[in-house]
Amino acid sequence: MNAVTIYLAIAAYFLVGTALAILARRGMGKGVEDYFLANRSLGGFVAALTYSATTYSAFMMVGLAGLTYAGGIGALGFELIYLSGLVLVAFFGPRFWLVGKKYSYLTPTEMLGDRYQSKALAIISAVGSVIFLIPYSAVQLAGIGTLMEGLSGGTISYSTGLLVALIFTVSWAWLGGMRAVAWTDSLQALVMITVAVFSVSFIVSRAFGSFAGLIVAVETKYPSWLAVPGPGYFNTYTFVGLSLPWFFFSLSNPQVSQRLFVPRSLRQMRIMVLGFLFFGFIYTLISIIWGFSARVLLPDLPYADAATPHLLALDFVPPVVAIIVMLGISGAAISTVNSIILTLSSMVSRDVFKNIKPNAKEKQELLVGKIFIPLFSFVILIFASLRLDLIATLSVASSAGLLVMVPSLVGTFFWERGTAAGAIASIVLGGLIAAWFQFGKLYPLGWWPGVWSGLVATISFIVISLCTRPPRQKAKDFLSYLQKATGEKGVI
Amino acid sequence: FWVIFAIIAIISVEAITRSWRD
Repeated sequence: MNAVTIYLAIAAYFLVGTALAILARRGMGKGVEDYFLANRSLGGFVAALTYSATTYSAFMMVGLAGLTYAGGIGALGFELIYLSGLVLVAFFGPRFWLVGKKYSYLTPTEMLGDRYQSKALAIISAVGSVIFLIPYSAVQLAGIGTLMEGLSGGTISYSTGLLVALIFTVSWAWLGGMRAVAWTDSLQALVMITVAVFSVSFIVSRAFGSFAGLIVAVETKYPSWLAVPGPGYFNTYTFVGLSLPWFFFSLSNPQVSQRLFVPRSLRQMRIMVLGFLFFGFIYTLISIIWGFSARVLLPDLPYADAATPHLLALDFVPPVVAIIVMLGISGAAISTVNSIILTLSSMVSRDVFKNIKPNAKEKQELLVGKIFIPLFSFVILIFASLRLDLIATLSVASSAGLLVMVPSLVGTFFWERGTAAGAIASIVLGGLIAAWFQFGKLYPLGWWPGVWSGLVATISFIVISLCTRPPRQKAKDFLSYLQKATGEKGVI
Repeated sequence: FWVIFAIIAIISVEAITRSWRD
């Protein structure tokens, strides 16, 4: 495909996004909450779209399609179990929102540190998030680089693709913080879903005539792909190992849980959650159908993740369709990465800098956060350029590694006896188990690293908490306030 | 089966959040 055409499409996309980011800045205050949380004033529709764009990365149209290609219908089960994990937000969302507003929390890790009265806990959980999310972001950018290189037939190099993705990521996040990210995320979410529906409809109608035609083709050639347990990729261990960490994604990933602080009201949060569920349901079905189409049309791919680029290279796919699919997938990756960078920057400024220099002015805190946006982006660029196995392994370990935040978060809202020592032990031991098992490719008794990291984190949180002294007064104030406020707001 | 499973989850969230007040 002509590189000039690709560059023109990218330039148009960048201009529209940048115009939106500049518009979003108007009326923005100068405080830290204004910059990192959009002053807790997002409406439900924009909140739903930014939640969707942040959550759904390039994994959907590339990784999930590949998982369907390799494992069949089990991929749909795994992804919909993840979607059903939003039931957790129905319980935890209002609690995050209520205490966030009362205590002016900027990050989920600040909330952990304050609830358990430990600066060390806030710093450790923030650093842990950086360790797991930077490699995850690097893999997202690498996906864009590979896609652009493949589509242009090598005219656009991998490193040029990375640089383009980085410029998008830094510009929009740095320009207007959460407000700009939320608005550009909304644009990208709409592009993602429109492109996905259009491209899948195009492929299915051209190749199979209809959705029923596709299913009949799969049943005729690959019947085990429609059955359980499937062609061999999925078994109980694989299915639970993949699904368990992702079921808790809405709590464990700070770039997602931080978004529980930003809706204007609880009614707007309800719109956010339901909007996301609707978006996710459609996007999941589309990605699965995309994977099944590849299974029938491209039976001999060297590896499953090659399904999307090879589908786009089919003779009957016009270049313009390939370009808009590339933009849709790139948008999915960029909207995830810039949200991660913004969240990690807010964690460095609030949980690390502010704890080390408690008397620092808000202006200094904001400056530190803004400096870390290009800094983290540069680190991600370096990681993505290196293409190390280490990066890919840490990225895969991210869901298992971040799962270890969950026991402490549950304790935050529901267990008066939880302690900082218990939370620190839980996060450190669980995180080490996740990294060790992932690097060593260890699956004790057949179970995946995420199962073990979750188990170790839960047990160590409970046992160490019972052996140490809790911050009783803070816990009492915190939980009493929540009991009263949830009653007033009609929260279960 | 999985589609019905997801619809049940969505309906559950809708039911749980219906009582939320500003």
